[in-house]
Amino acid sequence: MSRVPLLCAEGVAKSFGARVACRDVGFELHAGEILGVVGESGSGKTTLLRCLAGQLTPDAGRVAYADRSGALRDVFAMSEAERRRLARTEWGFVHQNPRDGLRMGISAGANVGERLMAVGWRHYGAIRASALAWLANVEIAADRIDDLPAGFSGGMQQRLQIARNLVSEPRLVYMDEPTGGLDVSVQARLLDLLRRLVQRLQLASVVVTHDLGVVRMLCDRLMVMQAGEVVEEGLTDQVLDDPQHAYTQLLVSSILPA
Amino acid sequence: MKPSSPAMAGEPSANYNFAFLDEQTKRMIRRGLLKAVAIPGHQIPFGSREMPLPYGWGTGGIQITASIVGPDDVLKVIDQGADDTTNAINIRRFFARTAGIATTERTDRASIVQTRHRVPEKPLRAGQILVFQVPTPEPLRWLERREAETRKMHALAEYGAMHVNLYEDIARFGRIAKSYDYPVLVNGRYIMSPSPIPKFDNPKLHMSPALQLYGAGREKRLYAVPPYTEVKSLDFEDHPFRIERWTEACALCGAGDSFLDEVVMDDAGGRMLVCSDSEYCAERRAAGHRGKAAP
Amino acid sequence: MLTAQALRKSFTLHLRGGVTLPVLEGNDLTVAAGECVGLLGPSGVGKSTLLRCLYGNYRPQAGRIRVRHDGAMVDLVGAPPYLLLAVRRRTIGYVSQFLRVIPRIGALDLVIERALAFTPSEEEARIRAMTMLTALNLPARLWALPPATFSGGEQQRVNLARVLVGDYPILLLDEPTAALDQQNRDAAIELIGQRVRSGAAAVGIFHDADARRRLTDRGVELVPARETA
Repeated sequence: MSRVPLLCAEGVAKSFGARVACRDVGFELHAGEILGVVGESGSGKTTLLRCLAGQLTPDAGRVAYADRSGALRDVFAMSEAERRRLARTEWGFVHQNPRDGLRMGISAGANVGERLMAVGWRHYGAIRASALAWLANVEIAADRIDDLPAGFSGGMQQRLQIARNLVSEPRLVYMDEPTGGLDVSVQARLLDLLRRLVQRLQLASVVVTHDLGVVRMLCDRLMVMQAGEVVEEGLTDQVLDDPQHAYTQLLVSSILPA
Repeated sequence: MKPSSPAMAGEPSANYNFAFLDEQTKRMIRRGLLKAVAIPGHQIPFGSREMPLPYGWGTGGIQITASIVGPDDVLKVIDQGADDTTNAINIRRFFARTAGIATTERTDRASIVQTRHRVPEKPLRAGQILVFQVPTPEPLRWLERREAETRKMHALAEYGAMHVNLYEDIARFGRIAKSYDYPVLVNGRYIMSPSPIPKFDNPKLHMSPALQLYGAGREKRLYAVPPYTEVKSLDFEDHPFRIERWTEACALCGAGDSFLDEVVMDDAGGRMLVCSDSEYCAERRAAGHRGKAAP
Repeated sequence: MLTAQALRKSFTLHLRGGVTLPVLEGNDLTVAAGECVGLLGPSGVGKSTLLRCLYGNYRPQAGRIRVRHDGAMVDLVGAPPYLLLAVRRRTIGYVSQFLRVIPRIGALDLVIERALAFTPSEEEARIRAMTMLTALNLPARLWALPPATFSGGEQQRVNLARVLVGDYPILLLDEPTAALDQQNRDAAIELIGQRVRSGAAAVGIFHDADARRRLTDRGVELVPARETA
C-alpha cells in the first residue's frame, strides 16, 4: 500500500565551501502531513528548508514535488519561471522574521492581496473581500486593513505573514522558526492559530524549529538533525517518548515536562 | 542621414560632429533602438554619454534624437506641452547649432518630436518619431529595489505586484489616484513606464501610427513602442482606467478636449485653466476660437 | 485483527553511559475481533511497553505487528508515517494511562476532533461527542474547558471519550478505569464492553480486578526479558 507523496527529497546535500550544511537528507511528505525539523542552530535546518523550497540549489540529491496534476516533478529541473510560480501559488514560505516575508511599505490588505493579484485577480472588490476574510482568519481587526505592517506588533506581523501566504490556498507551506522571537504568550496564540489553519486547510508543512513545544503542538512527524545529518526520525510521539539517538535523548531530556 | 548633405537651417558648427555625438556612439544607440523596437516595452541598457547639460534635463532623449536625426529632419521640442520654455528652446537651439537642422513648433511639420511630460494634442501620423525624456524607466522600482530582481520579474512577466500600487490608491483614496507616469502593458507582454506624461496622454500611445522612442540618460536605458502597438493602461475590472476630465474649457481657446494646466494669475488667488499644449491652443485661437478669458 | 510476533524492545540510555535495558523479548500475541485480552504479569514486565509498541509509540528493534486496516493486514513495524497515522486515525484507539493532549483546547472539541475521523458531518461528530461525554458522566460545565485543570478522574473520562466516540476496530487500554470512582468505572466498563461485543478487538492492562473480570475473555502472561548485557 503506497501512494504518491506530495514532496519527495532524496540525498539532498549542500555545502558552503568546506562547511557541510546538510548531507544525505531524504524523506517523503504526504498531503496534509506536518513534518518538524529540529536540531540546534547551525545544524543545517534552514539550509535544508531553502533547498526544499527551491531557493537554494543543492549540490547533490533530488527534490520532487507533485503538483495538482499529481505527477512528481523535479523541482530543480523545472524552469525558474515555473518554480517561482509554484512558490507563489501552491507553496508558502513563512520566515522567522516577518520583515523578510512582508512588504513593509504597503498596507496589510495589499500584503494579503498581492498573491491574488499575482495569479491574475483583477477585481478590486473581490481582492479586498478576500483580504478582509484572511485578516479575520488570523485574528487581525478589519480596521487595520489599510495600516502599514510596520506599526503592528511582532505577533501581528507574523500572523499577517501567515495570511499573506495562505491566501492563495497553498498545499505546502515551509516555515522557518515561525514562533521564534515572540513572547511566550504570543507564541502560544500563534501556535493555536497555526494548528487550526493547517488542520482546516489540510496543509502539508515542513516546520524548522528548535522548540520542541512547537513540534508537540504542530507536527505529526519529526526529523532530528545534528551537524547537517538526520540522526533520527519518526512520528512526533515516537521520537519524543522513545528517543533512540544520543543527541535526541539529550534534546528531549533538556525540556521541562509540560 | 548623410552628414555632408546640405542643411536646411544653416551650416552646423564645424567644431562638433554632426548632432554632437560621435558616430560610434550613435551607432551603438541605434543598435539599442533597433533591439528596443524589436521587443516593444523592453528596457535595453546603453552606454549613456556625458552631455553638455545635466542629468534630468533630457540627456536620454537628446542622445536618441542625436542618433536618429539626419540633415533633412525637422525637429520640434516640447517641455510640459510648451514649445517656449527654457528647456525646449535650449534643446532646439542645441540641435540647430550642432546639426544645422530645421526646427519647428508645428507638430504636423515635424519629423521628430522630442518631448518631456506630454504627447501633443494633435494626432501624430505614420513616419513621425516621438522621443520621450525618461527620468525613471523602471516601473517596478517603487516595489523592488534590486535591479536583478526587477529584471527577473520582467523576464518572467511576474507583474501581479504592479496592481498592488493601484490597490493601495483605491484603498486610500477610493480611486486610482496615480495621474502621471501611469504604468502600461505593451503588446500584452512588458510593463512599461510611459515617462511622466499625464495619464490623459496614455490613450494616445495605444496603436499610435508614430514610432515612440524612450531614453533615460542617467539610468542608461532605452525602450520603444513601434507604430500600431497595443498599449494598455493597468486597471481593475471594477475600477477601470479613466483619464482626467475638467468641468471648464481652456480659458484662452475654449477647447474642451485638451489637457489643461492651472495658471495662477495674481496674488489674490486668481487662476485660470489653459491648454498645456501651447501649439494646440495658439492654432485654435488663430482659427478664431475664444475662451472665456480671451481678449 | 491484531497479531504481534517475536517483539523485542530494549532501551539504550546514551546519557547513562549507553546502558541497555531489555524490556520485551520474544512476546507473541493474537487478538481476534470481539475478544478482550488482558495482559498479565508483575509490574515492570513490559505490559505498558507492549501496548505502546502496538500503538506504534515505541519502536521495537525486532518482530512484527500486523493489524487489519482498511480491509488488509499491514505491518506497523517500519510502516511509513502516513500509514501509521492513518491506522491511528481510523483503526487503533489507545487509552493511555494519563491524558496527553494539546493544550488550550476544550474537552468537547478534543472529542469531536476524534469523531471526525468516523463521520464527515461536523454536526454528527458533535452529537456523538456530547453523547459520549454524557454517558461517561463528565459534567457539561467542563466541556468547553481544556482538561489541564481537571481532576485525574475527569481527565481519564475525556481520555476514554476520545477513544470510545470512534468506531475503532482495535482498542488498546492501559488502566482505563484506574482513576475512576465506582459509579464512573461501571459506566466506562459498560461502554468498553459494548464496543467489544459489537466486534472490536481489545487488549488491556487491568489492575482493577473487577474490570478485569467483567471485561477480559482471557489473559496473556508476559515473560520478563533477561539481562543480556
